[in-house]
Amino acid sequence: MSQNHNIYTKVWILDTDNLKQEVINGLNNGMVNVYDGVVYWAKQSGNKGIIQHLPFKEIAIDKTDDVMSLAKSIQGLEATTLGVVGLSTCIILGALIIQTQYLSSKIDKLQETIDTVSVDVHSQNIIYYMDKISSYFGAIESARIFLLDKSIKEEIKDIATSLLASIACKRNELFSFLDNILSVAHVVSPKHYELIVDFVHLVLDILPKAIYIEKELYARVDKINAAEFIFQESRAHYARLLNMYKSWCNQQYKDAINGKLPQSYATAFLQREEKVDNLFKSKENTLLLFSPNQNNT
Amino acid sequence: MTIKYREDPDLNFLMSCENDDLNTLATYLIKDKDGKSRFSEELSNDPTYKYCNGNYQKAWQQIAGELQLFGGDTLANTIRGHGVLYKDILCDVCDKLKVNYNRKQETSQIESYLLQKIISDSWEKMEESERKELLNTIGVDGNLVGAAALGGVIGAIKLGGFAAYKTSALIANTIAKLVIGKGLKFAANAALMRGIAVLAGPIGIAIGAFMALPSITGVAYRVTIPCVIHIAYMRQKLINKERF
Repeated sequence: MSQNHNIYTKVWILDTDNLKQEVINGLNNGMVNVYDGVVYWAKQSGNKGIIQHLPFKEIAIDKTDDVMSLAKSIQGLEATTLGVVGLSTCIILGALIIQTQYLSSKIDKLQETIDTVSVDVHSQNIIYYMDKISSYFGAIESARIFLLDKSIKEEIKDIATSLLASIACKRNELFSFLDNILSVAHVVSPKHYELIVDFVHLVLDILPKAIYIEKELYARVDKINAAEFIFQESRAHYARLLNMYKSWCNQQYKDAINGKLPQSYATAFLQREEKVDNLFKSKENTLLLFSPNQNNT
Repeated sequence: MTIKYREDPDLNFLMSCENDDLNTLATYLIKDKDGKSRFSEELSNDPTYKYCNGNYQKAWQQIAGELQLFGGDTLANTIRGHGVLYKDILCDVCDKLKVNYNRKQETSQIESYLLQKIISDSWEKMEESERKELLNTIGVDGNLVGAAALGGVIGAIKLGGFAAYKTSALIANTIAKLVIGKGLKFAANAALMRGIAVLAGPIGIAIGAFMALPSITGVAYRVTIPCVIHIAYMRQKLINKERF
């Protein structure tokens, strides 16, 4: 019994059997938006207001599984209409990220990398930004905790607004930093090169989860338009960053093959080849940045 | 017997190569032209290679290490405990084949000179129709004739990119057929396949002439020449695709 208690945890997931037909149609043609478990008409639909509060049901999950396979297996249990598969998985995945320790453990891992970079890279500007990044992901973890309980919604409105303002500033700082950090990767020592590549990789892997949580908190405190605006802006910026990282990785790869990259850098990069590939193919991140009306934005 | 790999900036990329390509490279090192095991090879007894179960990516260091050993003198290898760097092997091959190059240049550049030399020598052995096919295969203006046409081919290889990859594929495939009796596996590419079929003859004659030179009849050159050409092909293959 106690063993079950350790392994399993209960989470709320989407009950697709009880979705309204209007919601299903709206999801298929991009006429709705979903925030914090509520389906709203999208601007381009010509309608306004709420269509449905998404029906949820409680299930027990195995904490030891990774969230993507959990989301898939849960989604597989649902008799999901074809058109809502993407959203269904996205909502389940989002629920898992908010309700489990998944994000916390990723942030802990990132914090370890940040600490190592701060200690090893004796560059004042890098340390300054590392501090900002710690603070950004700390704020995201606070936002996640606020999202755990809907009943405190009214009480947290003021705090959440201030937290969201702080997250927005820190997010922009983080984006700027990521824009620039890769340009210094080749001028640092091989060890710092590895640290920087690992750091950028981890941040790019966690950012979609952070963007998702930020959007959900805006929606929780009834700032629906801001949620949509921030979400669309952030996912566009993230896509640009990811593309930039992809170009950089492709160039590093070619230089490593060509022998243009110094040996220790080349070995370090090639050893990370599979991990880098997994980031670009991450279904988890694609789903979290899924937008029902993304073709219209 | 365990093969030691000496860290080599020009061979580290083997860790990213496909199994089929590594298998071909290993076959050059292990088997002779008649399919018999080479007397001096150690790779087939290396535990990592022996038990990799066809997953040659696991044994890339052993394959690379064996090539380094073939490139070095046996006594010197024994004293050092490892072989020589790939660039030394490449330059040694280029010296023997009278390739015009500069040792200080990048390895991929020297490999390009080697490919240019093989194509130039093959050009002499080609019929006019075969020359046109070569121009067509690597994407050079088919209206060029004579020295201008050869200049176009060499220029395209020098520029790198897909022309250099296709040239390396033509040559590597021909040498694979000559040495191990079967060609390489390629992703479907109609122009390349047609070129391979038409040009195997003249390229094969040129390579055959190299291999028959009295100065390179030693076992090591019979191993290192195909290996170097195959490695040049593997490098071009990886350089010419967006990995991510």
